[in-house]
Amino acid sequence: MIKPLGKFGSNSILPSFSQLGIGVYMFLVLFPLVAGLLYALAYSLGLVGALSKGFTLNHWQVVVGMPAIWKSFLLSLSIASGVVLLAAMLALATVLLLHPYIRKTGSLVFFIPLGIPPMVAAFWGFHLLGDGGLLARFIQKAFPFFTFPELTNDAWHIGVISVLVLLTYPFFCLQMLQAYHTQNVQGLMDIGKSLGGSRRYVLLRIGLPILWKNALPSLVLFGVFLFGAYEVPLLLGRQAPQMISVLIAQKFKRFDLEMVARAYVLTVLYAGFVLAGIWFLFKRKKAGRGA
Amino acid sequence: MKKWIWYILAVLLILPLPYLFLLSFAAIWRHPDLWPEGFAIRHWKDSLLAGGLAESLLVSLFISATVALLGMILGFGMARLIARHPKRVLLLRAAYLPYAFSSVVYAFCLQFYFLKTGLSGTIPGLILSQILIVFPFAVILFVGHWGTRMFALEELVQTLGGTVWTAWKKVVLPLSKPILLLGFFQTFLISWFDYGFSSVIGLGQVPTLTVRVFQYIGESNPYFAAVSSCLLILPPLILLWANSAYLRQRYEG
Amino acid sequence: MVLEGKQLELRYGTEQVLHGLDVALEKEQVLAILGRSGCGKTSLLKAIAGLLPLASGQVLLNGVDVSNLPANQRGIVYLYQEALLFPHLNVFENIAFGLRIRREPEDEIRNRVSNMLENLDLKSQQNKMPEQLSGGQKQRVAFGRALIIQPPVLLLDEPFGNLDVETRSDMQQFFKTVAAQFQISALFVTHDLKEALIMGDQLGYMDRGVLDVFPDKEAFYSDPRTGMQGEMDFWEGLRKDKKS
Repeated sequence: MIKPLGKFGSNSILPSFSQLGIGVYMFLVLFPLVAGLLYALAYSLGLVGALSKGFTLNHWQVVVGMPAIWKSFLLSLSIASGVVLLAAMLALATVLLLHPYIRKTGSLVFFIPLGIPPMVAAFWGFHLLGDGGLLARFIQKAFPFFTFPELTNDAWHIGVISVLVLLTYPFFCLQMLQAYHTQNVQGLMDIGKSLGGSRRYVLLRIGLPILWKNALPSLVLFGVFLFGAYEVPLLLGRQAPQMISVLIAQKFKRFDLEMVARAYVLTVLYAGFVLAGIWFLFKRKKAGRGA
Repeated sequence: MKKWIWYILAVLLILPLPYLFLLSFAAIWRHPDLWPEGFAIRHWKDSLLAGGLAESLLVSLFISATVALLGMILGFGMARLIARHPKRVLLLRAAYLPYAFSSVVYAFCLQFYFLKTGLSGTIPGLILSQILIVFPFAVILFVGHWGTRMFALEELVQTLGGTVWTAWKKVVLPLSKPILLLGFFQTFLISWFDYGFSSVIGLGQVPTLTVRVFQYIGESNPYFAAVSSCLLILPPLILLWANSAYLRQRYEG
Repeated sequence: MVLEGKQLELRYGTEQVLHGLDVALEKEQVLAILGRSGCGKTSLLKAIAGLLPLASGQVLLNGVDVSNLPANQRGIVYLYQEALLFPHLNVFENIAFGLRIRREPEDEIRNRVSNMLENLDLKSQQNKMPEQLSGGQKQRVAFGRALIIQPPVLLLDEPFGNLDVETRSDMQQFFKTVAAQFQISALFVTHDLKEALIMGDQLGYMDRGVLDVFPDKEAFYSDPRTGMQGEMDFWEGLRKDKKS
């Protein structure tokens, strides 16, 4: 081990350069976000903007009083957590049960969906699941009297969820595959078996908890990303309720300044949710380190 | 049984690629046919030449390469600074925020400032806006590379008589080549995939490929949308192919 | 004196790491400094090497004040606990590194590196990459890389701390031989009592940023802080037990 140099860090060479660097960092990382949110807050309170008539809570009262807004947040939260859980479960099952086959074919299969931008994935989702899509055509050929259900722009958001799972699941698989090797999960499960554990027992009591714990921070982070998903629900979601990013963008795009003020209220609310998610992530990380 | 489940899964994961290529080369593909009626390069020719897709390809390549290059250089240098900073943990946490934010919402937050400075609807404006998320991402990616060992090597070169520049040229950069390449690819892809900033900060006046896909979908032109989708998928596929040996070793043990 | 440190003060924020410390090293001598971890040994060496800025004090090399020179112009080589070989260069190129920085002619580099490889008994390893070497071999390459630029002073920060007991003992003997052969002047810090005794021509003890250098080995033995007395009592006790 080399002795840590950390505590001599910042003032060892050219302290002014270091301070300047941190200044640039804050300027590029935090300043735009804070400035943007401050503007949003000021606009939502009637302090700035073309229609501003001085401080008012009017926009906030209107927005907070609209059940559709809360439905939208709830929908985003449900879809984000649903997709993360579904993708994580699938990935766990894939890595634990199909590991030998993945080794044979190669893990590169998982990289292919990661090379698809969300916009293209949404386009693909439309062509696969839409009522004139590939799946519908196959089913109509095979079962001519079967009515193909609505899978895009549908009430259950099946299209949105499927495509978001397609984009998330391979990432979790890769992460868990890596953990499978670095944490020597196979070796640990073999020890479990040699101690008398059944196959099912070692999978559930050894393999699953190790991979789950390892993946947890990414799951939370992905939850936060998916909460703000835009392109996929924009193309495959319903008109109402919409996921929050779509709703905010739609309000901004109307040429109605009242709507813009409401969009800024929503932006501030959304920021609150994201901050809470990130805070939760770091709280967990800290707790994990302390343990 | 398990083997078949795996094959079906693998096919489902890969299927978008052949489908999009098939659609882009289909002369015509009517409902409810399962296969197109003949093939043609018409859609590629028309969209690239007459439809302005070639311009979009160049614009997107230029923007993403610039964003990746700047993000990589700035991120690498800044990661070195932050790795030894007493407030390292706090500074790194801040880096997660812009990245975790929905890019379209972030873009709307910034729109006022970009409009005021005349940067909205311009390529430099779009590059700047994308750097705001790519840069913190690059810092997070590179900071682990700046461990005590890297600093010790840098100091060692100095005690052997080398300047800081020698240390970077002869030791730091050669040792960092793989991670720098990885950083370049990843930041390139973040910019390449972006639609939020392109649509809001670009105001539809910077015709990136993602903006084109959305436009063609809106115009109900699936063939052009498929061509632009194929163009969007190609660079990641090339990067994947170029790095396949390294990636397999990393994920298959 | 080849090296002198006068009234060295080093602070990190409010924490005082070196308290007006004096140190002097005679030519072709090894001063072994014993001290527990956290006593400021590493900071002392780094400050002398120019890798940490002094709050006050002077570092003199052959009578010349080098306090304001950057590390790369001092000619003092600092060796870490870990060999820190450049992982992208083979053994030959690792040793040649300092000569290449100085843009020596290629023939000169070949000759001097070959000689060094022979002296260090590393000739057969010259084309190997660092990851193919054992711990002891790595450390020998690190010495070769430092010695080839003929530094007036070597600073050794527990250089054998990562080696197993046997290799460590071999390396101590190796260093003694090399030190004589190359007429090395060195500061050698360690927390290992036995190693300090083997390596040092002179002995010092460091605690909380203060260094005491002993006039002779007797003074070192009798200072209770070094733990020497306790060690001797222990072995003496064992001997008596065996006899009775």
